[in-house]
Amino acid sequence: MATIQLEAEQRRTAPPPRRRGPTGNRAAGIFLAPFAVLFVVFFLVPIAYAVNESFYQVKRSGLGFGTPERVFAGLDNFTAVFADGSFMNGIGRLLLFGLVQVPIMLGLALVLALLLDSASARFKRVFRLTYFLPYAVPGVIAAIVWSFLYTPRISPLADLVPFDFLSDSVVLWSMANIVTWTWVGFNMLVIYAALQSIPTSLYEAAELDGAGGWKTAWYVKVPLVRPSLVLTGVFSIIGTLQLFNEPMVLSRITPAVGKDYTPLMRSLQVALDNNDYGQGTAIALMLAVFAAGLSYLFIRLSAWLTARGVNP
Amino acid sequence: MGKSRTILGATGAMVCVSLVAACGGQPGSQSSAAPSAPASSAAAGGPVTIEWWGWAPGYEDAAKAWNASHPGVQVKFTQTQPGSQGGYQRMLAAVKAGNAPCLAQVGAETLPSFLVEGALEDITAHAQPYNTRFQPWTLNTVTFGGKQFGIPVDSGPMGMFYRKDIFDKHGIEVPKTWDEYAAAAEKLRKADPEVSITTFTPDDMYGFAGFAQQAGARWFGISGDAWQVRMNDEATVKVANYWQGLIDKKLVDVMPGWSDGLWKNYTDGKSATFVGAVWMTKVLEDSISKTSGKWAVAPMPVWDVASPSVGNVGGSPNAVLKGCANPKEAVDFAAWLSTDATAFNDLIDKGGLFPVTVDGGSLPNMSGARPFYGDQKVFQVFAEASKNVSPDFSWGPTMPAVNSVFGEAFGKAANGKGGTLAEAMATIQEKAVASLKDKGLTVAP
Repeated sequence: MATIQLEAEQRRTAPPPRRRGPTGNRAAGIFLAPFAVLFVVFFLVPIAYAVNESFYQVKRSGLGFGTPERVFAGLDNFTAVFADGSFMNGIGRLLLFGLVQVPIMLGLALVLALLLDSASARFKRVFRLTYFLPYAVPGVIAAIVWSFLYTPRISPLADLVPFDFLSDSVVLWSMANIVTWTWVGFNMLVIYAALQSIPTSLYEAAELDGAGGWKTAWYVKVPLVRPSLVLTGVFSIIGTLQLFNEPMVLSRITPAVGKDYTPLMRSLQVALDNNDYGQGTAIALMLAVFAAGLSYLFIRLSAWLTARGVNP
Repeated sequence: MGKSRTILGATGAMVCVSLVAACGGQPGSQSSAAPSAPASSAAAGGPVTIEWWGWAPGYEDAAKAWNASHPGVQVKFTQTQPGSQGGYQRMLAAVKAGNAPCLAQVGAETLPSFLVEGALEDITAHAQPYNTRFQPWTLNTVTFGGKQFGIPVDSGPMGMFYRKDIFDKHGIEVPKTWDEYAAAAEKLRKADPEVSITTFTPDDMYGFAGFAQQAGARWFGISGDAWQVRMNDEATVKVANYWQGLIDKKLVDVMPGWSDGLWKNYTDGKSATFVGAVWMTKVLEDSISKTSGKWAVAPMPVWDVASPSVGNVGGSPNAVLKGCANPKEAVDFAAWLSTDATAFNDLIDKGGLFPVTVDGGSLPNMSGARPFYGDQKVFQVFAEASKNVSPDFSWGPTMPAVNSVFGEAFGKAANGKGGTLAEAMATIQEKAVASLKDKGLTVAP
């Protein structure tokens, strides 16, 4: 939105077509209106509502058969988020998940992108589409299909492996597998697009300097797609903290996944099962704060590493 | 650049237009204004419209039958998800938003939870004239603090569904007590290691409550101005230990309730009995239709033949939700649904619902033969069982919250991943007490 306004401003200050000033402004307003309305109605208003809701609690007494009373509760809902261990357990689980799954996923995505981009790659379009295809399957559907593959007796796979996909210690990695399967293709495409925009003159220069395929990939391509890696990294961190579809589907088929397995599930459990919207929204807001904080740390870390000349 | 912006704007406009169209066309948004509008038109002599939400099979047709004979009060039925699978959340959200339907199907186990959320209207005065038609104990399940909050519809006396062919093949007698049931389990495993006596579904709290109730458990009660919570009382621990024994000896399979794995187990004939409520009659017919004709129904095994108490699972009254403008008309319809001979006779057939009226047992479909059960008149077995249901089991005010922690704790124990079932019940007891205190309710020590 800011960019467009800026441009409109530049146009106004640009001298030649003088009469377009106010008209252009109005046109911009008209074109912006649909977005602005949707943005306000479906984004800003719900957030404001959630923030407001998180400061209220419903009070009852005795048997609770009287009319419940909605009262301002200050920060009580937020302290309650941390009072029982559910929220922080969920966060801890996701940090572990992210530390293992995100590097594997982005590593795979980078390797696939480099393979597609390499001079000797064949059938590029076919492979690009194939890698990307899992992303086209809606998340819940993917989780349900994978849950069939994980269920003993139903799955042709589960009886062949020496471990139980749905046991306490394995189930987190069974989810990581689903998430990786879904998202590698998407991340690959982002990195691949960045690779496509590298000018060929750099490769020629690298070749003249005697760099082979491996060295070109490591010293030329990877550093140049670093912004894309940071971007996909931030997306992945946020995505990890919002992990929901996979654990929700698996919670129906294994007791290893409780209804409060991830913070988002906990938020829904509190809001819908306990019918406590105040604390439910407080959890959601705290989760947003965590996601913002982690993303910021990641970007700073990546900038710090670059400043010290660490690749990528 | 300019061009792409135009396209963007146009797309936005289209989204907006289609959205407005969708909103305008959505029945839900218009109905929000409905409760007040018909009230005034009723005064003017126009028809009253009652919105009704539920999920029982057969309700849609019942509403049509009522509408045909009652032009003054028109019922508009909306099918929801079953309560525990999202229906209740939708109802409570609608109450919070101030556009709830007048009438809703709310399970007896969830009614106190709705009451504590302030989601119910007191219908004592309107319901009074109809109460003589119902068995007295069912009225207890909809009455709290001397006020009535629902019209009973059905109950769920339990029985034992069993594979007659498997029992016959291995020469196993139909067990009458839980001791005999355990012995039959052992005999069956020996005869065919592939087959178990049943598939235990640890996440099904309401099913387990039926077992516990049969043994004399009383999970919730009211003492003065405080709730009593006893989810791990002596009887419950006894039942938990019984199932723990069967699990430890590997005599039963363990699967999540209502799961594909469960139905596959039964379709493949890997389990020989299912002990459950009368409405499972219809569920089994629909879920494992391939095994049709091989099943039969016997009374639920008992603990003591001298006093053969039977468990009950479910029973969904219709309740008037907060903000209903025409509670009297809503109650009139709900009472008709439960007591009208023709209407309920249909519900027995289409929904597998078991009547709770004084004379419900004499309805023709109560003695209907069902092909899935080898043409056995299964409802008669349940009619007999219903006489032995202990009527004084009541529910607490936070059942959805308790249910959402039950599956994990009980499931882990049943799958051998942490403690015993009895220990899990102790954990669940703690969480249940906490869920009441979270709501600001008083819990008796």
